Amino acid sequence: MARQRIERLFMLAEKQFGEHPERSDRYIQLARRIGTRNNVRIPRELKQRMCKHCDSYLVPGTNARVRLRKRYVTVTCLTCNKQMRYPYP
Amino acid sequence: MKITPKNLIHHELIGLPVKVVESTNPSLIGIKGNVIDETRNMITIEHDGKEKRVAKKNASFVFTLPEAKVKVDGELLLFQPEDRIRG
Ligand SMILES: [Zn+2]
Repeated sequence: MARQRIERLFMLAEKQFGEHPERSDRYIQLARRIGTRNNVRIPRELKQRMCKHCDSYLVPGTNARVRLRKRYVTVTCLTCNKQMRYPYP
Repeated sequence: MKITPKNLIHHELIGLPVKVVESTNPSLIGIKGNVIDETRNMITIEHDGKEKRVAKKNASFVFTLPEAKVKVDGELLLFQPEDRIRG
């Protein structure tokens, strides 16, 4: 159930981002709380759509900058200017 | 697991169409729209483009699911959203 709700909140965050980006951020905050409270991780593909520092919903090119480095991708949140790194491949 | 009448009170309410059908505050009865936020004590509903906050306590709600309408006593929802997952 926790997993379904997390996925649903990310879907809703995406839907609201155009008109109500503040709602998107709120949904990410709720999704993270559901994860922590119930010991469920945020799935990897969704994790990269949020800022782990400030709980913003991230849309690359709009409020996030994505750069490829040698062994990792950096995602910069343009709301709080902090970075996240994801290794690849 | 999709949202069913049985698991509704443990599922995500945000995004669902809802209507306030009973409340001790008569001015809240009839508010309807999509749920856009939830706190421990309140549900925020987008009604005619405005955000209305409705107390869960002393109210009942009818949620519209794809295959059914479900009436829920607000008392059953009186938890933080992240604590509503298990009964
Ligand atoms: Zn951030």
